[in-house]
Amino acid sequence: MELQKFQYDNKLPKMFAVACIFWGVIGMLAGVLAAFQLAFPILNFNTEFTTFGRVRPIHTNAVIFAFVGNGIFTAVYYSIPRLLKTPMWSNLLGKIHFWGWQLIIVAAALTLALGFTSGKEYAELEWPIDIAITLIWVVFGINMFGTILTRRERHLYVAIWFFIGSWVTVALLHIVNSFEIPVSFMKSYSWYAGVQDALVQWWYGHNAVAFFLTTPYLGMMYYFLPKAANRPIYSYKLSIVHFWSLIFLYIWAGPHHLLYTALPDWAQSLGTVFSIMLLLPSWGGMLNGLFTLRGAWDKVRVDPILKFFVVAVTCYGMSTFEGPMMSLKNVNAISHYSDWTVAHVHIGALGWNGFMTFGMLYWLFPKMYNTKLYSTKLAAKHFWIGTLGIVLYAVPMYWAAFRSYFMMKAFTPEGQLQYQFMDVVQTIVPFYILRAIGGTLFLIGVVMMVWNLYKTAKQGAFVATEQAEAPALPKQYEKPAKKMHWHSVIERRPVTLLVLSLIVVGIGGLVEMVPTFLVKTNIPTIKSVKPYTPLELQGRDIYISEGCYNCHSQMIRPFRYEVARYGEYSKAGEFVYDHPFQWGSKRTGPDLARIGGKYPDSWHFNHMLEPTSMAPGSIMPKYPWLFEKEIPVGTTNSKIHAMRKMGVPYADGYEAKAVDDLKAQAGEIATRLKKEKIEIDSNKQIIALIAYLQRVGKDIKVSDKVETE
Amino acid sequence: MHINKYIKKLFLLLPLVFAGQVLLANTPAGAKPGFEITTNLILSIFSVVLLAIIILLAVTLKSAFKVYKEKMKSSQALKSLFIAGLSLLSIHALQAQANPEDAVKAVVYQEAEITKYILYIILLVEVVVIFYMVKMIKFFTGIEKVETEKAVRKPLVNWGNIWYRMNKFRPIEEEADIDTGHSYDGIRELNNITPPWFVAGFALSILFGIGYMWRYHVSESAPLQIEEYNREVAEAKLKIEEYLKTQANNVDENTVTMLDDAGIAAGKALFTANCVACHGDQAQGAGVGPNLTDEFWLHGGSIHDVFKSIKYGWPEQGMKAWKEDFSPTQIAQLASFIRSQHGKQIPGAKEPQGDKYVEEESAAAVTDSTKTE
Repeated sequence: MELQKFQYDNKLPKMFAVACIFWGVIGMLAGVLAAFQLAFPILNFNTEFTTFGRVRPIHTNAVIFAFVGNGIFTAVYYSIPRLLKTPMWSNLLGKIHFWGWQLIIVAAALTLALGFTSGKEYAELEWPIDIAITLIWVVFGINMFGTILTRRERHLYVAIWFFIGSWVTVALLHIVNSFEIPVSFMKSYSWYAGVQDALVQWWYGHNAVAFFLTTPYLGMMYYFLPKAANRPIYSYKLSIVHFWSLIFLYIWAGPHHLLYTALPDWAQSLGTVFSIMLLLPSWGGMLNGLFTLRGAWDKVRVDPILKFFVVAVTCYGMSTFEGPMMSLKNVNAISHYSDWTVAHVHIGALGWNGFMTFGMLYWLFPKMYNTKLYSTKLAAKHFWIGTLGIVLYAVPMYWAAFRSYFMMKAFTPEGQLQYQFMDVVQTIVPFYILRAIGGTLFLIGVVMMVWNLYKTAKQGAFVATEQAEAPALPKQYEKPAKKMHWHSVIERRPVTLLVLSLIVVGIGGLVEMVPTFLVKTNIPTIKSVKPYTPLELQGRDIYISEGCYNCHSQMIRPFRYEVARYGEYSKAGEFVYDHPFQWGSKRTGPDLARIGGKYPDSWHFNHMLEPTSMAPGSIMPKYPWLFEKEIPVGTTNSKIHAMRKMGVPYADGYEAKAVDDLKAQAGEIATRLKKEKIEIDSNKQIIALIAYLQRVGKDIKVSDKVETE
Repeated sequence: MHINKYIKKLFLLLPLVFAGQVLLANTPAGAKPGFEITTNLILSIFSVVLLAIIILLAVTLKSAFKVYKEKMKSSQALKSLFIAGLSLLSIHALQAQANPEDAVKAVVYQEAEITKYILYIILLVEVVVIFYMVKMIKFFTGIEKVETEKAVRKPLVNWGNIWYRMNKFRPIEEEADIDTGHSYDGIRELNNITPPWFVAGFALSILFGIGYMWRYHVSESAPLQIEEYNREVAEAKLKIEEYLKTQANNVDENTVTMLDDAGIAAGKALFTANCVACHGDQAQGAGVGPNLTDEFWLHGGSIHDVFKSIKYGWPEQGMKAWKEDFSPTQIAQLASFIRSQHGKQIPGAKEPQGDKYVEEESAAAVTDSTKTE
């Protein structure tokens, strides 16, 4: 058969790789800053753009979508053409994809710093950016599928199964979780409320980990690990088993982020059992990776690239073992809201994603520049300092988590809480410092890599295109004489693979979401729970905008020590008007689900201005700008309107009264503050925030009171 | 050669350390009056001793390494030393971290078991490091090499072999037989079976899932979260009641009386730690809380009233309920302290709030029983 000549493009993979490194450094820098802020609140710099509540989303978004995202695209744009013996389908779409994605990242960083956020973790970006992400993702999909459909290789390699599965699932997750109703150019409300919003969010959040941080990186592993080790993949059968079981099971596990919350028990249990079942399918990837190195372990000892891969795959195995364990209710009782979760994700992010990326880059740059790595020694040093960084990051966090757990749940024999929340904070701070040092070490390693790769590029000459040749794919498929595995049928039908993946991942989401949305008994209504007043609604938006949910939960779990500390445990019916929900995932500060009425207005006023004045030893940042900036009264009408559209029972035509009500309530609060000798204009943001905080969790306090008297 | 002796001496030390630990595990903690030896203290001392040994070993190791370097001039060894140094460093870090904690611990963790376990872990790590360093010394001085050459013992359990069989590995030489014939950009795939333990484990996890759902949602033999909570609270309540029966701690707002000077002092400490943010450092009142030294009271000024205000709070006005934080005795101490501050003229005190309260020494008990309503 006639050989066709074609070229592999290295320009786009290089661009993605450079972007990956660039954003990686930025994202990790933000992480290090955030880590030090927790120990030294002065590093919040007293400006709204640099407080922890905004830096942390920048860190998470930058690391996930910019660092790992560009890492994925590097792997895809480099490996897919070579695995399919064809250039990428469209160079133009590739460029649109690249620049579009980078633009989204810049927009994300800016808007998050400015406080535009939807208030849902890892999905903070506001609606115009959500739409842009969808468009660019489609561009990426078209380009990838165009390439697959014009291939010169009949069967798809396992790496490509993972890329396809990831692409379609991320699209699904992003679209479903981003259902929101815009109220202005950069503000929207989640379509879902309370429990349902929580379920959708963690279905998304968990599977962002699954289908953005895990499955595409498994694809990456399946290409770069055998390449670097020059060994065959250990087991084709294992690939098949763990691919399908992984994508089917992963999607169910979201509710394990909501154990012991107001989510219905049956949904929680599904989250637990599917997480347990997920363990071995996850390990399938690790086993196939590690066993592929059989016969190459002597190389691992000397080759830093393989070292990175081995530790990455091992970290993957560790965190996918830890994850299911943390999904057990009794373990989750300890880990949830604690630094354990933070340690867990960083084993994954630093170890698995970080080290996989570094290994890939160290392998890729010499190839693309037709030279040798500038310094293998330096790469080995990077490996060691990176590993040390991970250990120094994780160990203090585990330690902190257990310490805080034992302190939190300690009662005196008389039945009083033994420690105040502040005692716990004070004990944890030294661990925050250690953790920040660990993160810094990891970042130093990355800087070493940047230097190494830069020198490598300098000493080599960039190979923009590589020549290749292969016969065209015959139109008619001829069965080979040798019997093929049944799965090969799917491997030569990419569209079938795509559709099957979509079906397989669709099931779990549907089974969990449909009943939660439709069956009334899942969220028993509470009569006394009323919609927020206009001022409270504005205050809530300030709460969201400042990223309070990054440190404060609003979900009291039914444990004796939580009820004693924060108040009556949270009920599903309390959150029906919460678009979006604000349950949070980490308690650096105390839970706020019953903060309403706990302190006087003046307490909140002083506390937001200078937290340590009301809570000595607090590590909370100051919020002086809330005392300068004015409540955006003009948006009130559209906010009320949007809420009513989503079923919040404001009376028809309430918009006409809303602003008057807002001003009246603000005036009341200003008057109350005046009694305490605090002078403040009633149009300042702090007034709205106080109004909201004084409302949170109060609607059912009536019944709570009956119990105490 | 003198290094050898060194090591032997150190080896003699090790069993001593262990014996000490065993002994200490059997001694009841902090028994003797007047001279308080707590388990944690002993453990801390041991950890310091072990640290000293580690430092000693480090010095030995350094000289042993010199010997070795002269012998070998190998770069491999440098790496080993680097690792050894690293572990040493990390131990130093652990130690440095543990010591300041000791100070805090004395206050915060008097009762907590956790410190003990932390110390155990530190000790364990230290022992491991010692063993490791001794091994390194042996390696550098060449003792290790001789020994391994002498004794070719068969290991009791051949883990490598078991792992091999668990996975049903096939020898790498037979790889060609199980090649699928796939080649993607030069990546070949083998047709090894999925490891049997993987399949079994997966099946087990599915069984677990079915069993779990069955227990919680079909047979309902395991408690769901609210039931679990109710049980927890009920159990705690019983336990507290049991405890209080044995304590003279059972004061409430009706039975509370003014305490003696020791009680007032204890109350002062509590006040300083918890109340000054709102009530000022001398109870003179501040932004939020009223002056507690004047004659004017918002919620009554008798010891009974004050006790009640602390216990249940006045949440609408910003006073939180402290009953979950303080024991009845502690509340009584606080109330006594506050009453003891009565009449102090503190400059810059807050203006009067509430009604004037007149002390009713004799009739206090009678009026208060009606007042508490």
